[in-house]
Order: sequence, then C-alpha cells, then structure tokens
Amino acid sequence: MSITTINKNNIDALALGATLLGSGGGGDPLYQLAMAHHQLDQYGPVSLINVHDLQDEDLIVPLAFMGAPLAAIEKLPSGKEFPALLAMIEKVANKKIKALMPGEIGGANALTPLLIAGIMKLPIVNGDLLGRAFPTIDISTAALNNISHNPIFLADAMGSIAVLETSSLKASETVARAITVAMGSIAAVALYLMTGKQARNNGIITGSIEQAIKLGQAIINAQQMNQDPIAALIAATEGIVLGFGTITDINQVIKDGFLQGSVRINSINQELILYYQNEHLIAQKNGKVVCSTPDIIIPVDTQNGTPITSESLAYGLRVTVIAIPAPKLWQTAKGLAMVGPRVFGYDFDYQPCTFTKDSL
Amino acid sequence: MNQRYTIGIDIGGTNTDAVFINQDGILLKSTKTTTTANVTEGFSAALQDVITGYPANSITHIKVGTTHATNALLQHNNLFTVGIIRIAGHNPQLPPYYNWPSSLKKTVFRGVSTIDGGFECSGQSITPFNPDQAIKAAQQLQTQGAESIALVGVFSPLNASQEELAAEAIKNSLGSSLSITCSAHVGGIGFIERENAAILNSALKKSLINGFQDLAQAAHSLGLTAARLSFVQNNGTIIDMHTACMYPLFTLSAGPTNSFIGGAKLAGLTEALVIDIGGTSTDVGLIKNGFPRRTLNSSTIANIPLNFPAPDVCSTALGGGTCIKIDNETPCLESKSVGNRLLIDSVSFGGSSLTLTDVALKAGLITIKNAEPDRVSLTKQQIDSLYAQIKNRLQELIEKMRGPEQNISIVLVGGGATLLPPNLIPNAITCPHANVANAYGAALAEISATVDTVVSLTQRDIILTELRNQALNLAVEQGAAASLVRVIEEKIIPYHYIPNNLARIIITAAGGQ
Repeated sequence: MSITTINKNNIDALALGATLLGSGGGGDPLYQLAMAHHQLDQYGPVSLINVHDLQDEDLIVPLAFMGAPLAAIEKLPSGKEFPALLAMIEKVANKKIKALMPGEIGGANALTPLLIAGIMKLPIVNGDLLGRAFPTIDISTAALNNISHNPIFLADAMGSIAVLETSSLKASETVARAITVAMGSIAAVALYLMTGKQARNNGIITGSIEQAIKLGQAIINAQQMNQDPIAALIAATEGIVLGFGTITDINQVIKDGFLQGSVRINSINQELILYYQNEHLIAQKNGKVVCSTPDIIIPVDTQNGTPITSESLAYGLRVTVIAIPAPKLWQTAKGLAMVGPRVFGYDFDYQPCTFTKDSL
Repeated sequence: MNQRYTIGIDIGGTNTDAVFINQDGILLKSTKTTTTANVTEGFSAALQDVITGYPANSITHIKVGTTHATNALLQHNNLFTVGIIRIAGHNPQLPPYYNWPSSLKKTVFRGVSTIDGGFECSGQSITPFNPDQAIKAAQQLQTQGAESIALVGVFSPLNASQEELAAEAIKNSLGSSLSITCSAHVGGIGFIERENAAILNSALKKSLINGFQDLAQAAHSLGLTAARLSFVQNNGTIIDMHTACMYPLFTLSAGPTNSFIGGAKLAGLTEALVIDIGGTSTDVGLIKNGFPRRTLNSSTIANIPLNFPAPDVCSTALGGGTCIKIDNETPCLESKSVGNRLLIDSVSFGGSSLTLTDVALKAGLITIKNAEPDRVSLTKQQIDSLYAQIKNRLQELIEKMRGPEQNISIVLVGGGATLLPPNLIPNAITCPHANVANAYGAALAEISATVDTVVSLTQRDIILTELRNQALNLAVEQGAAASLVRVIEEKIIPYHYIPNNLARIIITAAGGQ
C-alpha cells in the first residue's frame, strides 16, 4: 500500500472516486467533503492503515451516516455524534477502539470517519463493508461472513444515543431505520464492530479507500492535463465502457422509501437503459442485459468524467456509462444471494460484465 | 394615438445596450455605448440616445439588466459587513463562509451566533425557538461590527416562520433601518448554499440600493417620470424597484439570460438554441417555452456555491477580440482576447494582435471605418481553416446543449455574430438587431413569481394545484396581467429515505404587464 495518510491533497480524489464506486447511490459527498476538509485543516492528516497492521483482538469500528440525503444537507452534524458514539462503544465493549473504517465506500460515507478520526487521533482502515454502495444496512461483507450485526449504535446531533440488539439481520435494518427517522431522518451509526482477525478473515473489502483515491486521481489528472477522463478511468480499473449517449428520459418514483426508476440514454444506434433503486442495478443495451448488480454501473459526464448520482440525473446530460467489476466477495454464490439481481426483484441471474466485453 | 413605449437596457461588463420598443414589441431604435466606470453615466447616455424624438411621458417602462451586483462582488467594495444568526438548535459542524475566497470573507464576515429553533424534516422544532435570543445575538453581532444580518434556519424552506419572527423581533428592537435577509426568501434546500445566498444578499444591499436609486434618478432627470423602472433577474423575468432593493442577489448575472430570451424573441421563436457571440466569449443556451433552460445543480458566483437555479450556459473563449496565432503556417484560436482594446490592438488597426475581427475584415464579411484589412496577411486557405476550427468548436457546444432536441432552431446573436460566414452553422438564423438581443430580451421581460418549497405529496394532485395557483396569484400580485399569466416551469424532486413522500416543488409562473 503506497498511500499512508488521507490528507488535503488526496481527499478530493477520494470523494470523486467514492462517488464512482457508489454506482449512483450513497449520496453526493459535497457537504461531507467540506466538513472533512475542515477537520483536516484543524487536526492534520489521518493515517490510513492496512488491516494486516492490526492485532487479532484490536477493535475496529465501521462508521456511517444513515438516513435521508435531504436531511443531511439541512440539519448538519453538530460534532457531538461521534464522540458520544465512540464513548458508548468503549463502555459497552469494555475495550479501547483501535481503528475506524467507512461502513460504505460508495458515496458520502467514504468520508464519514474523517469527521472524527483526526480529533480522536485514530487511524482509518483501508477498506469498507461493501466495496460500493447498497441501500440498507442488512447488506454487508460482515453479515456475509457471520460477523454479528449486534449491537448497533446510533447517535443524533442533539446528543441522543441508541444501542440496539435486534432479533435478526432484517430487523437490524427496520429498527435502525425507524430510530433514524425519530432522530430527524439523519443519524450517525456504528455497526458490525469487529476484531482485526475478523476483518482479515474476509469481514471487509480491503483496499477500497486506496482504490477510490486512485480512481478519483485518474479523473482529476486527466482533467488537468486535458486528456480523455473516460480513457484514464478505464485504464485505472478493470472497468469497461457499456455505452454512451444523451439522457432522453428519466422515470423516477419513490417506492417503499427508496428512489426507484429508470433512465434512458440514446445515441445514434444504441439505446441504454439503467434501472436503479438508489443505486444503478441493471444496465440494458438494445434490449439485452449487459451488466447487473453487484457490478458497479455508473454514468459519468462524457466531457469531464464526473460521476452522476441517481439524484442528479438530468434530462439532456451527455453521459458515458462505465461498469466496474464487483469485489470478488460479492461474486460468490453466497454473495449473490445477498446482492444479486434476484434480491432486488429481477428475474435473472448475475453475469459478470467483463464476460460481455466482446459482444459490445 | 396613445402609443406607449418600453426601453430595455442591458448594462454589461463592456457595453451598455439599449432598445426602444413599442407596445407590440417592435424594435424602433437601438444603441450601443461603452459601460462607464460610473455605471449611471453610460445608462443615462444610452437612455438619452434612444428617447430622442419621443415624448417622455409616452415611455411607460424601463427594464434593466445590470452588472451592478457582479461588479460589487468582484471588486469587494461597498459591501455591508454581515453577521449570521443560525437558527439551528445545535451547532452545525461546518462554519459559515467555509471555502469562500479569503479576501471576500475578510471584507464581509463579522461573526456567527447559533440560537435555539430550526425545524426537523418532519416539521417539528429542533429546540423551542425564542425571539429574544435572536435580538441578543443581533446586538452582539452589531458590537462585533456587523452592518447587516443574515438569518438562516434549518429547514426554513419548509417553514420560514422562525426566520420571519426573528427578523421582526430584531427590527422592533434594534430599528427598522438594519438590513436583514431571511434565507428562506433567497434560497432553497441546502443549508450552506442558502446561507451563502443570504450573506451575499445582505452584503449587496449597501451599494445596490444606492445604485438602483441612482438609475431611477437618472431616468427622472431625463424627464421619464411616467416610466416604471424594473430590474431583470437571472431567470429572465423582472422585479420592481422595491423588490430589487430587498433582494439585489436576484439581479446577479441576468446578462446571458437576456441575450438568450432576446435572441429567441427576435427570431419569433419560443424554443430555440441561442448562440451569443460577444467580444471575448461565446455563450450557448437553450430556450424552452420562452425561457432559458436552467441547471438545478448548485450555481457558483465569485467562487461561492449558491443554490438558486442559474441558466444552463455552455461557454467558450471565442469572440471578436479572440487572438489568433500562426503556428507553422497553420492559424489557430487562442484563449486570450484583446477585450476592449479591439480597435487599437488588432492588426487591421495598426496593432500587433491578430484577432477574429481581422479575419472577418480580411474575408470581406464586415467593414469597419478606419480598418485596413490589407495589413492582414492571411491566405484564403488559412481563413477557411480557421472558420473550420470555429465551426467545430461551436458544433461541439451545440451538441452538448441541444442533446436529443436535434431539430431545434439555432439563432446567432451578439456583436460577434456578423464575424462568421453565412451558413457556417447550417440553417442558423441571424436576425436584424442581433447585436442588441440582450437589451431586447430585457425590454420584453415579463413578471414572474416562484414557489420553491418542500411538501408532502401524499395528496399529490390537490397539493400541486394549490401550489400552481399560489405561483399564479403571486405573479399577478406583483403586476403580471391575470389574462397573460401562466406556469412556465414546474420541477418535482422527490426525496428518499423520508416518510410522507416529501418532495421539493419549484413552480414558476410568469406573465406580461
């Protein structure tokens, strides 16, 4: 690992790369980025460590904000959330926290641990629980590898804290979501607490922070040197271009609390349709599925390579749709049972997008 | 015959343009003068120029799009210092003015105070609001040197009552002359961008209220006592003097909007792609339903993020003053421009900079008094190559802006439009008076009102009808004719992970007077 700190020079790249890995979801990191910059200004760089740097019994705490993006850009965090949360965790676990980690690399939450790591002088583990973004907290590599979802810690801006023991994985999502609403539809959350040993044993997706920084840096460098950002992006990943064109139709509804819809992208002889539920889950080209969850599907601005979240899709935008292979953990039968197309209501099985490369 | 006339004026960074139109919208006179350091002088000169020969009392409207606000922000002078009161019930972790250009921050910032109140997205107060805290905070900020106050409440676009109560309490206690801006009146969802908008609005009041009054005085001195003075907003519609003084922020960057609307109107179109070629840059915009398409994403002014919708503009460094360098016999466009030294520095005028205007002179597309195109040593091949480059550049912008609307008409306007060979852009329309399209756009500007709010859409149809009526009534209240008013834009942005189907609704209604 060549990157040893998160600092003022690579944080913009991290935010950009995280938005890409969000597959359209995870929220726009604009506010998180400003707040993280502010923390780095005050407390300096935060060290980024490898999971192998940790002892077997070291306590790692994955952090995130959960709730509504709307609430996140109005009711900003007060700064009380994480100190209260971490103190409660150490009290309940009766153990010192050794490192923090983003719960979700995709979108705004990639930056969440930076709001507290500097002041607490804690390092951040180069990894996360998803390798991308997914809409609910019952999905995670930790859950996949039988790391307990209990206890879950939630805190709000005013100082309220909740410690949850839930009856099932499914209940962890429904109960935590209900408490989040009571906390003003935005809450700081710590979940899937684990040891260094558990993390090393496939509990997390390793290297995702570094991957996000590299992706973001590739786009920024290309923009600065007036080179094609799409080519730079493809060169920096194992990704492929699924297609390009102009957004000609957006069909968007809120269903069961989630933003669901489809977006149509047309060019002269191809039609690409993306189906999303917060995240883009399926890409269909000329009527045929060419990419599906858990592979990452992300439209970027054709001109400058900036990723476009499902909330900021706009009629008339010119986009290129990129697919990036899912982390290997998700491509297993067990992984697909948690995040494959059928879980989201689609009637077909996952095909890795790289297999379709020749047919493009 | 009781003819009534309207004057449209666009005070830009370089030129002050004016048009004189009758009540049927027919352009009778126009003028182009240089924007003066004291903006009012150029304004008076342009007015004087177009009204000559018409009885002063027949002129009923003067509509002005102006660069006053942009100038004030770029020059950092004559701005009020601002104290901020956050009605939040908690301390938001990001300080105000974060990421502002430091010199502007230093000029304006005089402190921040956070008081109880604010709303959750459910509509409940975060903590109970107390107006006395607002008064105390304002007093404290005044002692720190704040000349004006910006009030920013959490979720105030959902419910502006706390901001409004705080403003009233402060005025009652500290005097009604204190300038106060409620953020809900100048911005939508997004606490930081709305706070920035409120700060800028407060700061701008210092010079703009005087600036606007100077213009009124100038019109008065010319005998235009019957004319109603109004100002064009960046959405292309007008606000009256009183509103402009309350919300000077809305008059920011009306220039491109005016050109786009004016261009489409000159061509008699309600849908068009307008290319405005000026002295240093070219702006491309899309007119739909008579108004410019707008970006929903944050706009940036003087490097400060704001969240009011700005016209969707694509720009490139291409204009009459654009410099051209010859590389190995091949001419290519540079990004720099000679700007307002065009008639001095260009080769045709004895200068040493080869400009696009030289090329047009040499190609015989235009003639300018005192110009000597023979000084320009370009071959026909080189000229053709340059125009091919320009064509490519413009085609790229056109493709980007029009997207799927492949059949939309293209209109060329601006002082630089005549520098291009006819049909360089196939089927592009060039109209008479294209060089004053911006002032024409201002002259024809209508009155509008926008409702920008967050509501529950559980009873979607009822709510939407109600909000549409609200926007229509507001526009009529502000002077639009009830027979002409209509909804010109409607945006529904649903929010997820939130109960009750909450959505941001932006409805704009507009109509002529």
